[in-house]
Amino acid sequence: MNVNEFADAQRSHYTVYPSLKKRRKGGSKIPFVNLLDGKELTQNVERRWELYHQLHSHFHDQVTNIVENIEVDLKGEISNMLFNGSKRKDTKPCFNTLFLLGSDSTTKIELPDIDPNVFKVLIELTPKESPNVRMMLRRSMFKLFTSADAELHNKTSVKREVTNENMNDYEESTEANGEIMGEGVREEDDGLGQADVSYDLSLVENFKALFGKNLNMIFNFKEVDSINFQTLDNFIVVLKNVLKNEHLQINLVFNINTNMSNIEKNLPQSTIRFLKRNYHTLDVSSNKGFKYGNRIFQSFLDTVDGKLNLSARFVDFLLSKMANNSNHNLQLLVKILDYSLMSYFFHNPFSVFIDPVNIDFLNEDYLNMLIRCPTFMFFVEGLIKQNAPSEEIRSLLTNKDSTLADFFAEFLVRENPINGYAKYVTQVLEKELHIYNYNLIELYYNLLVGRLEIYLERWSAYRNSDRKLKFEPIDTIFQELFTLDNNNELLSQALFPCYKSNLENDMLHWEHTLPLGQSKTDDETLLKLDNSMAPVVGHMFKLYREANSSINVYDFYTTFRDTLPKKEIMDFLDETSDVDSNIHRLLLENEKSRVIDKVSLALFMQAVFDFDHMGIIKTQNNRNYDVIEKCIWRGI
Amino acid sequence: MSEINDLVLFRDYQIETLSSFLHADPKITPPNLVIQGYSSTGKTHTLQQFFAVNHFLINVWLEPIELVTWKPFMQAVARIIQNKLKSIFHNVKAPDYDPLDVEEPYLLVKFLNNLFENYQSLLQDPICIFLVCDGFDSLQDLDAALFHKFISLHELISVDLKIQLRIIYTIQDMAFIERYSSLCLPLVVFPRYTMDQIVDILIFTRAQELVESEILREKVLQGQIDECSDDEFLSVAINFIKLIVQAFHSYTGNNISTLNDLIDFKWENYVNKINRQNIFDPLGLYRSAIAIFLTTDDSLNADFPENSQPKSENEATQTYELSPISKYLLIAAYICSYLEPRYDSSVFSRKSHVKTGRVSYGRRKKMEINPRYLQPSIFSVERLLAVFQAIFPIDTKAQRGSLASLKEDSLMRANVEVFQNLAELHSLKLLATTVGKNIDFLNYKVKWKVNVPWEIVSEVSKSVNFDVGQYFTGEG
Repeated sequence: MNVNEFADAQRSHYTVYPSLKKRRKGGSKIPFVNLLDGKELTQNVERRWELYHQLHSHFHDQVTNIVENIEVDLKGEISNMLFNGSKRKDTKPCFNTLFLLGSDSTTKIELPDIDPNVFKVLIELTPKESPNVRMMLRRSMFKLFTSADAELHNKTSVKREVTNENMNDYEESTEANGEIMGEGVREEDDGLGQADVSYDLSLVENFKALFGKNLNMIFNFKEVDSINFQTLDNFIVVLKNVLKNEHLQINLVFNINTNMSNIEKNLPQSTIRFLKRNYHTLDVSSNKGFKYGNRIFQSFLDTVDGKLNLSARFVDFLLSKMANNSNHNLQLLVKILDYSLMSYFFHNPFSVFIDPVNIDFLNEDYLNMLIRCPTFMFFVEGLIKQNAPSEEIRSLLTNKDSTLADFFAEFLVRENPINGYAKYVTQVLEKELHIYNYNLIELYYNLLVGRLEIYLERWSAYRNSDRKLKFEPIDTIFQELFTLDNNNELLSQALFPCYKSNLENDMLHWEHTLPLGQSKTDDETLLKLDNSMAPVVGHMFKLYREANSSINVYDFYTTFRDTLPKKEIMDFLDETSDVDSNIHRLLLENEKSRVIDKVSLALFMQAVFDFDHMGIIKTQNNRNYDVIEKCIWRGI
Repeated sequence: MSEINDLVLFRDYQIETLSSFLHADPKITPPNLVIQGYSSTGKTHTLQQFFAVNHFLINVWLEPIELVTWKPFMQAVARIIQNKLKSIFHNVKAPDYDPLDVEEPYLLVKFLNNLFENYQSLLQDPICIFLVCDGFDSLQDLDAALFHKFISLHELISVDLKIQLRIIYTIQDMAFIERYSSLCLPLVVFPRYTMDQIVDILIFTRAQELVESEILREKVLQGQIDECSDDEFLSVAINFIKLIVQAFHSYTGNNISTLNDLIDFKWENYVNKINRQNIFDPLGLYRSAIAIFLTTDDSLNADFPENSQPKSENEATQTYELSPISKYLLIAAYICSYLEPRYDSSVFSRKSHVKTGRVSYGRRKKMEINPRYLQPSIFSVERLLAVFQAIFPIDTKAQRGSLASLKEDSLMRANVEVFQNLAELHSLKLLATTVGKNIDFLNYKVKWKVNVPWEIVSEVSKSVNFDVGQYFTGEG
């Protein structure tokens, strides 16, 4: 066995990439299928596809835009807090602390180059790099020195190869660092002055003497929650000591992905008090607040040109799913919107009419569906009640003189009033009432269900203003043809698939998956057996789910045997013994009860091993062969 | 000594002792001097003032806490002494030694010997150089041997040298000194200040500064408080300091730095309450500013007042920054960790809508010990999911018994969301696994346990209106 094979054998899991089946070339390249029972024109399918693509790419353009803006906004805000913050003329030196809440530690901090007398250095410390104070200090001092040195080199353009070479060797030997630094520094001493440094905070202390500049250090602690808090605290205390130098300013940036109280709980009060002297917090997880979510949702509404409706059920689905996922809210929103748009275009033949130009393609097949629209039927009913001339109604229903087509076309060019009103409400909220922390999606939902007032009541600014924003949702005719919905749980199924419970379901309701009844066996006894007994795994699973966490194998077997339909099995065996000599022999040599025993044991073994393969039981635990342990629980 | 007594309060005895120990003449100065006192007992300040007054004593200062380990510490000792000597005898051309060569204690001895020898010919009388190791026991990697190495340093350096090193250690921890008590080192103890002394010290150090603060000046200009003399301003500040000490002494103890912090934090608020009427009326001022003396305001969260707006359903789920699924998972994990699996069927079939399995309505057996007092036990993820399914409420929109209700699931399914949230809980370290890294989370061999105490779980469960206490009734 060579090394690679050996290493392979040690791995706990493997990744297998199935080879992709090449789609057959030729034929239509569009993944859409002809709808209207296949009667849809290929041309229209293509149009649908094209239309979908236009909308999709337009929407995504905007999303990318918004997301990029988030980055820009954030960076601006951070550097604003760090570098332009009104410097409090405090008599006591303190850190400038910034807590980035909900940060995934990828936020980049940019150092603006405004003051030539201040040298700024960004020192990033990850939990891995911060096992103890010594290493933290060494790493940060190394970073400080190299960047300061690099700048010095650029300016003076003096080549000092010795130092550089040593620097390259740096990574290999941390212990030797001290000396290397020393050499590099001592050379500088000749030119720059008396002070010399080693690999500790004296570098910071003597920075002004060495490099002739003030120093602004920005410590970016990544994933603060994973750094040992004792170490972190010690490090802060150490840094606190150097603050007495006047040329020095220290910024601490903490990337926190839990919450403030976690930090507070874990650091000593004295440190908290010290940090509190000058600190800011900034929520960087773009999903906090509704700003970006609102923008994306709005751009989606705009994308579909105000023509598409969203059903209340769909918006509710959006809201609940976003509430369930607190960290990747925006991505989830985009994903759901994407998917719903796609599925809409995929399954709805009328989607082609989103572009009113395509009205020319309206033909009989579509009209048949049109007249079955609930809203249309309701409309017709209303006409009847109002005693409209029957001729008119009939012509609408039969499309005589293309009345229905015209009627439909008329509705196509109308805009969805809800989208317009939502926009209007947001404008009122922002411009007149100065309310910004509203959730557009929630607002939209309340619009749809006609509870806008109740939603807006929560802001005192609205309660106190005499502005009354009221909206009664009205049904537009044919709206169901242009509505994104989650009616058959398609979205929840596709976007949030169940894990494992599918398997369980199939075992319990095997008739859903197995084509029973359709299999036309001529054999009546086999049919009877099939009807009386589930597949072995299914049968066993029924017993399994009622058992405790550990199951005695023998008990399990007896129960299994007793629940088997004995008569049907015997009948089946009798019949098969005619063709199968093995079974014949089995029947001959044993009495009836023993046959049942043997058959059920065989079945039992089969089921147990199947379960073992599925990973829902654990056998041979602790060398105790009597007991099977249950690995999954269902419906206790 | 009188001038230093003016600068340092309540340390007369200590100063007297110091001045009898520390002399320019090495013959009558002990090689090591230990100063013990807990934090904020004025050790550093007294020493600084002492050397400031007796400026003829050559002294260098080191703070071991900055140096973290012994090697940089020794190097710093070498460097700082060399630099000091260079700056004193700047007209002498002495060879430079590299302090970074000091890799071992014996090299420090060699370094110092070599260094001092350079100045041998220059000096008539032997002199002392004092090295103050301020907070020797705050060195991060302190071991038992290091102090020994330092206190015996003088034995290794030649006594004939004209320059003699004398080391002063300030140490906070009494236990640390007791370990070396057999060595009979001279020890000066700085006891804690009493409350009255603290008041005096704070007034002495802070009152003037508070009066001169920017905030007060602005306030005075704004409120046109013009008929007030300097003394009266001073009395306002003194009164404030007294109030702070009285209000928070039980919280801070005799810790001056904490009290200083509190003064800094609260002065601004206090000043804001000052107006023309109450500046001469301390009691009235206290009444109007009573709020600031009621809380310590230590918390960082104090600056985020809770939104006064009523929160909607989806917003309320953001408390604790966990989604409802996460919260229920956490509760379920807690239940799994603290309830025995054999009770599961009886406990949860009572709650859930389906009563599969052994439908046992029997009373649960009472456990002898409240399980909450024990270590969390481990459980498999499947059990967690099952409990989660049992406790997660699904609001069925359709009417009970209607056709539509058949279509809806009455139970929460473990879909991708659930696993997302589970992963989130794990990365937040609220749940822990038995296997460290590179784990296949869904492997049944991986055992889980909850990583939060009862308090947090009950808080979380309150936020979703779920009474987790009912599962621990009888005991909790």
